[in-house]
Amino acid sequence: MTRMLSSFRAILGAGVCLLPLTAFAQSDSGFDVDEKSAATAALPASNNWIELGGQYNSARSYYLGRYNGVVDPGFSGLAGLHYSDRDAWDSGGTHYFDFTGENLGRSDRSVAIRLGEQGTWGLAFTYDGIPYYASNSFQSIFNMTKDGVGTARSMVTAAYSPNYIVPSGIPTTATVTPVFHYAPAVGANMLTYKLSTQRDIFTLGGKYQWDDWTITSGWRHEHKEGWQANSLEFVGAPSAVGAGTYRAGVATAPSPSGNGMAYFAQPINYDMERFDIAAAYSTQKLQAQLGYTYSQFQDNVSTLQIQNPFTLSQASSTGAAYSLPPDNAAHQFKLMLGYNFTPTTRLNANFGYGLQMQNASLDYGTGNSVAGAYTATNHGANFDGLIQTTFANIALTAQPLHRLNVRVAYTIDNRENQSPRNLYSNINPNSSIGSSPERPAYNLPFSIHHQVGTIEAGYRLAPQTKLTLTQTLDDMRRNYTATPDVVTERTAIKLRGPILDSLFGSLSAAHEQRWASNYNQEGWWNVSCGGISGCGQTELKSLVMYSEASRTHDEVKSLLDFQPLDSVSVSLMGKVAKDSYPTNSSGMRSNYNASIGPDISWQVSKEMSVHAYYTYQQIYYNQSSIYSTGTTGTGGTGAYVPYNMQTTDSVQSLGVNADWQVIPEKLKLSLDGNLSSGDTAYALGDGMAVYGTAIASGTTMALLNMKPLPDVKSTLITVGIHGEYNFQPNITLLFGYYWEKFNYKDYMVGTSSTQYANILLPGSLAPNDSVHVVSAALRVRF
Amino acid sequence: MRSIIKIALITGFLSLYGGLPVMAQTDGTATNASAAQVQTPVAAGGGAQTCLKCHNTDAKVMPILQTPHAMQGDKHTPFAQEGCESCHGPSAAHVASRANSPNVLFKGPNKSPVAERNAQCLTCHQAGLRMNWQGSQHENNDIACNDCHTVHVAKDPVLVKISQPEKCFTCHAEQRSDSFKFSHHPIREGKVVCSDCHNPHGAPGPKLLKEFTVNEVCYTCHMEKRGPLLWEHEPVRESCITCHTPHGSTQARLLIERPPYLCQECHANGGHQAQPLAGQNLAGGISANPRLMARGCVNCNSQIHGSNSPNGAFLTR
Repeated sequence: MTRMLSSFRAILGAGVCLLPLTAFAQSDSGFDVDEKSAATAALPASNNWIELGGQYNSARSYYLGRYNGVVDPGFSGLAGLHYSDRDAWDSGGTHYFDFTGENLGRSDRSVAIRLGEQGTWGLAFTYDGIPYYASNSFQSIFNMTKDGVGTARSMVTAAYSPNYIVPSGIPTTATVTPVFHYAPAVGANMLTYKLSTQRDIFTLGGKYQWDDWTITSGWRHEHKEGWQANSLEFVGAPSAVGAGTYRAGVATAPSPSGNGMAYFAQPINYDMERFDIAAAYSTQKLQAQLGYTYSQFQDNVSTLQIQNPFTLSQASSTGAAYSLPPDNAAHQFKLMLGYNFTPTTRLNANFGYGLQMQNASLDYGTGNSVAGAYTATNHGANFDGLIQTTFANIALTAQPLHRLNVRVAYTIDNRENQSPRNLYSNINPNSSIGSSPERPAYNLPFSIHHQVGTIEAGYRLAPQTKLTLTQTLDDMRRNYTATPDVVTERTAIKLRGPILDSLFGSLSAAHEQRWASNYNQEGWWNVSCGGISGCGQTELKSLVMYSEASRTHDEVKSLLDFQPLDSVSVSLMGKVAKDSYPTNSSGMRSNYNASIGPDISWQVSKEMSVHAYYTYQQIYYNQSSIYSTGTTGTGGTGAYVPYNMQTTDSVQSLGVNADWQVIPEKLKLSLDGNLSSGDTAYALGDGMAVYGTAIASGTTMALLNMKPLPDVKSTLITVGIHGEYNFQPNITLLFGYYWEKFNYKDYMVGTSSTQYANILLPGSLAPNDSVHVVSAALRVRF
Repeated sequence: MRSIIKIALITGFLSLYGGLPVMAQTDGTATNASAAQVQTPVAAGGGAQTCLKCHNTDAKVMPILQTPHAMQGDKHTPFAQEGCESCHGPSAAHVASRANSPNVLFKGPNKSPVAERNAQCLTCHQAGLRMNWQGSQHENNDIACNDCHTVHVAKDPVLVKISQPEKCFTCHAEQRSDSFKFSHHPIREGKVVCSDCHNPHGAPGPKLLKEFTVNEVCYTCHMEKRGPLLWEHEPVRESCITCHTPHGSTQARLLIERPPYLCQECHANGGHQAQPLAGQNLAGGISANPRLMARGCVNCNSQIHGSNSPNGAFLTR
């Protein structure tokens, strides 16, 4: 339905060409200007319209309605209005007024008002609603208030069932230590939330022009409110539900140790402001613009306090603090210059300087002995964070020879983090590093210094055949990283031009070499630990983060455009890009992204046009573990074995669209169908023998064979037909039918929220929807 | 994969091979119109009224009178200057005889060269968003302004949110495919459009973005991620697209790959991060692991964009 109504709007938006055409019939009589009268222009009829209608959805679907808010079955209304008034083009006046309201009555409604005197001043006001409906099946143990206080409706331990069900596959003769435990009694206390957010965006803009100057200003206010899914880990003693020792059919009481995690509905209440002002000066030779932007983010929920549901009793559990996005503000100045030395030689310069600031209060102790009551190294009530950004780009374009154009550019892009660096206490969730739940660490103000130089030359071998060569040198310097210096060289070549009269082709290739140097094993962990005993871990040279590692990148793109007939055009696109990380023997090793597909347009007749496309895309990642040999032994270490992991996304999209003017000026039909299918396949050492995961050390684990992961699959099918029938010159009936079927299979989604007692999952169901939508509306032009 | 590379190479060779004869062309064969334009064209004068004597019933022409371009009261507009000839060039020859084309043609088999067409638009539209047009990706690829823009309609479709993406998808087929994926920005739905993030007229930063950096663009709507934060996740600060693919993904939350595998691309140097997680670790499996449930690693490291809690070094608070 959304698509259908959107199509209506598209037609309306573009649609003056649909307005009375009979008056525009081209005269075939002579071309002698002197013999024709300078007739008054026959302007199209009014573009103003009002639209009223409704739709019927056959079923509930948060997927179909996630961006328009129509998620429930039944009838809903819809209205739209467009009114514009502009002085006649030859009247000498410059007044204009324009009002457009769309999707009125729905949460994706929008309104735009523009008025002014063209060439002198103008005002614009807009409102845009953007809903996002995430889930109607989200579950949580917490009763969460809009102020951010989450109270557990029951303690997990109190609801713990001793009748543990041993999952199939665990050898009944072995003593095993399941990590998680079944807690069916908690289920009765799980709350179901409808998760959605609504963005309401208001803008007000002004413009004033005189001579070569233009002053523009704008204010943007956005309010976002609703609920979103989030989760929190509860670590260390006295988390009650921990390891027990089980045999099939035999249960023992849990011991009070181990970690817990629970989902909660996070209240969202944001206000975002942005104010822009700019002065621009423009002549044929020189264009300049100086601008300033101030933006501010405010979180109206001051804190999140969440009760630990894994403590032994409700009375002993107090709120664990969870930090929220802190209020922040930013200033940015921009200067843009363009100067034409000659008609073909131009200098562009862009400069930016910005400050990003954040000084929200820090929430230290929580009063919860599990979730961090450690305040010994308190470094003030506020963070006082400050980041300075600088940007400069200078580009010279020229045409030194008739067929040769060149471009030379240099860019600096720095992020200088001037925030304080201090030692803070924090929770250590990684039991393999230290036994204490508290582990002091330094924060790491992360800075980037980035420079890019580019030289590009394009040579026209023939008027429409162009060969372009581009060479780029990129230098990136970072602090607090394993490879602080990274240099990239990129060479690209592109050839485009006609092959035959009706065939046009384009081919480009690029090779990029990235070198990461000055390897520093202290780059992250040890710097963060500040040399504290038991905290350190080496940043492995064989596992430099892939975004910072040495890399070889190659890509090829091609495009063929074929027009065998005036009424038919066919294009074929192909693209492949491949990365490999030659110095990394673990983590990301290689990846590629390839896509190919045709696109066909056919003007069947004056009344009918057809467009079809197909795209196949494959995205691949290959990664490895750091282990070269497997370890066999006790639980807790037995899972660390060599492996390779390949992920392959295969995506196909197919679409057909047809527009048919069935009865000229009376009836128009459009058909739109799309099929999109995604499949993510995983290959992870299938069949390899590993030991099961265990938290409790010293427990012998059963030897398992690695089992394959199921594919993640999504399929979207949409079919829509809509029509417009003009039964009066100024009245149009819009009608349509739309069907959308969406299936989603994902092994990470849909697990019962209480299947495991110490991880209370959201339980949200995978969307599997089939919805029919019928709609009708009357549009009256006035 | 290999077949895809082969296809790309074959199509490329075809382009190159077929292009060679054309490369031998001289400028003189570019367009006949160019040759004709060697002579200094003469303006017909009289403004738009001259042209309307014949074109006043042409449905493809007339809607321009309802647009800002036609407002004669605004001295900046084409109609306040030379009328139709402001864009179509001095065209006295065309007025004299239908056999002669206007000096600058934007459509049809004899349309003017791209640079010539664009020069007409840049006469007025050189400032603001167009300031970095010269040398931009679209300019280098010989994209003409009127490949995207339609001037002779009351409302240019590429300036209408709901119809803009289709125009961009004409060339950017991969992005159209992305827009249908399970997780996507509401591009098809008309709530976020290409020009919300991109400036197709050229930009000093990457990927024709409206702001200087990727993150600056994302912060426009996701300002809560901006910080600065006490505990930063470095790749997040550097570029959101380290982990996200903004046009659409088969993974939730526009991720390029799903946790735990996305996280293990960088974090696999020991501890729980290094464990291989497969079928036996699924919910209900014999060695179930929470990193294969719900949001994976983010279940616990839920402040993945950074934390402002003193206890948040591991992005859990």
